[in-house]
Amino acid sequence: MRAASRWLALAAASLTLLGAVAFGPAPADGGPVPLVQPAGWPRPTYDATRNPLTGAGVALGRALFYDPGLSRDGTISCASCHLQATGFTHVDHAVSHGIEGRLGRRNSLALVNLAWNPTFHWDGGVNQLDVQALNPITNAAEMDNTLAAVVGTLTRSRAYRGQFARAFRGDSVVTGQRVLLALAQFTSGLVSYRSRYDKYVRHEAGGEFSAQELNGLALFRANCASCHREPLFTDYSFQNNGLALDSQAPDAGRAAITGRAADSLRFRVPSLRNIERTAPYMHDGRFRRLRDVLHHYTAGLHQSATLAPQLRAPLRLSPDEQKDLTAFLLTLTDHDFLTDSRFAYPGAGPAFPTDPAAIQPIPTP
Amino acid sequence: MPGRRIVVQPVLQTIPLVLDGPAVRTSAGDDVSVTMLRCYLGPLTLHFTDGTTYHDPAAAHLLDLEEANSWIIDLPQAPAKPVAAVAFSVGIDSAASTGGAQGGPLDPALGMYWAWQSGYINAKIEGHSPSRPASVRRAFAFHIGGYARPYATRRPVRLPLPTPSPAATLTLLADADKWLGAAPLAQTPDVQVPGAAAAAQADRVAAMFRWPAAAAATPSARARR
Ligand code: HEC
Ligand code: HEC
Repeated sequence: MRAASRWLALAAASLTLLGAVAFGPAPADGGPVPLVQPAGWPRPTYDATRNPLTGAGVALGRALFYDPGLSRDGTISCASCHLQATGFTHVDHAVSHGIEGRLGRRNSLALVNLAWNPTFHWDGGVNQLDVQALNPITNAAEMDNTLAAVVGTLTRSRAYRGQFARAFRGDSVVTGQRVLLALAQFTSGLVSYRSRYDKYVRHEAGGEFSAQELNGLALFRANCASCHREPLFTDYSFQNNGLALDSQAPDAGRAAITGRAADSLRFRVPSLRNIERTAPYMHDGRFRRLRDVLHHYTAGLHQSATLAPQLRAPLRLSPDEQKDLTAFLLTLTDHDFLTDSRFAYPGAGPAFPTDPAAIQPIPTP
Repeated sequence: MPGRRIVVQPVLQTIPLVLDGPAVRTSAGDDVSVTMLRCYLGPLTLHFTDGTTYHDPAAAHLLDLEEANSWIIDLPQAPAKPVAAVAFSVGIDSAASTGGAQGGPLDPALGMYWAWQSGYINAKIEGHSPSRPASVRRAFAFHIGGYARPYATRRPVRLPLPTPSPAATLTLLADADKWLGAAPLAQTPDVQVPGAAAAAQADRVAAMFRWPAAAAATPSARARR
């Protein structure tokens, strides 16, 4: 068994992962799984040596991601605001809503290619994927819980203790660190790299572009790619793209983290992968349709001191060009990613026990 | 027990500090009752009179007014030589603040890690000041952290013993008056984000640690010289 898992790890490491599944082949024993590294992409920023991906760890992270027991009243799971079918964002909500219907401050971000992010959140305030999950767990408008309480609840579940033991070298002790690491094992594997655009750049079957889409790609590269850089469709910089400040809910963006006036109204450039599905758009969800976004860039830019230089003058895109650009943006929809069963609700796996009789006493060592 | 033990005693001036205790007047003239005091110390270093050192293997120590035992730091492997100075940092280094989810004394479940702006909270003090007029806010809360320059809040502390000591147990004071009594609470009742104000507060947090006046000449230390 030991030898077999080592062999599997070796075999997996020598596989060309392109076209393979996002976590690489999952060994039956829950052992090591490599993170996918699509051809032509930069190296991931997530340091997986700190949190080696294993089949058992990913499975545990997935169970936690879909478990409403992480919230104070057992009603909200991560998936409540990050739905697979909508690119792991909160569909139809300008700003996300959490426990007891409380409204959050910002539009939920799409969870995609997180292993490449140098920072997290619209303002870049979070510096590592695994500590990000502290935010939804403790935010009063999201899950309104504490990590210590989550640890306590998980510790009372025999099924979860078993899953922790499988994920953490036979040790069933639940800690805050392990909850966070397990969630990151799942979310770091949410890699979208199988859209029609990807097949086009890799010259694969199914990657044929129409003349309209080709023109859209050229327009994109000329007007948008300086910030929404391929292949991740963001350069992860913080920019002011000309949105007028909402006086009802002012949000300084990056400046709230750095305290620098030069960062006022700057937000992280978001990826555009699966953009067809991730409406509404922008940090406050102010635009419902891609048409509204293009109208913004061509006719709605708001001048201010920190506005990005590329956008000082409105972008010039004729109505036909806007159609072509939109046609291109739709090629970023990754149906394999949006329907990948390994990212979906795990079904009747271990969940927090709701029946008090199912709660197991904590074993004394 | 072989080795050495460092005991930290929380006080306000000369009065032992207790959780939710009766109000005590600070040097700034505020009567305060403390409802929370938590502070991270980095690994300790013992400097011996012969020039050698001992490095504490712990990742960090979280002192917490709610846990009496957390103020006792055992160093079972430390040699029994006379100690000339004790050094430690107040606060967590930036590598841990940028290194993702940590374990043990650094587990984010302990509530000393900021969610929205990653990094450890190096020290927290909360309480109320019943002496202030009812019309103003009586509560105070300082959560001091931030690892990015220029507002890094980790502070190195080196405390030379007035007289080198071979004692197995060395007792330090953590005098909350140096923190809360540095300025009237009416001026600043609240700092809970990294920045210039937090960096100024961090100096006060570090200033809490000192040897009690009596340690200047303990009989055993004198006898050995
Ligand atoms: C109530 C809605 C809500 C819930 C529940 C929620 N999130 Fe989020 N999530 C958001 C919002 C809103 C943001 C953007 C926050 C910001 O930028 O300030 C976000 C951002 C993120 C990000 C950062 C993505 C990036 O590119 O920077 C990650 C990762 C994430 N969430 C994971 C999770 C996990 C894991 C859980 C469950 C433990 C979870 N979320 C639960 C609303 C939610
Ligand atoms: C100067 C950099 C920059 C340029 C150039 C730019 N964008 Fe953006 N884009 C941003 C930033 C920053 C945001 C997020 C703004 C916010 O929410 O405050 C954004 C947001 C978006 C969004 C919303 C994404 C989401 O998930 O909410 C879309 C769609 C978009 N841009 C498309 C485009 C297109 C199409 C172009 C070219 C016509 C373009 N952008 C050019 C910086 C830029």
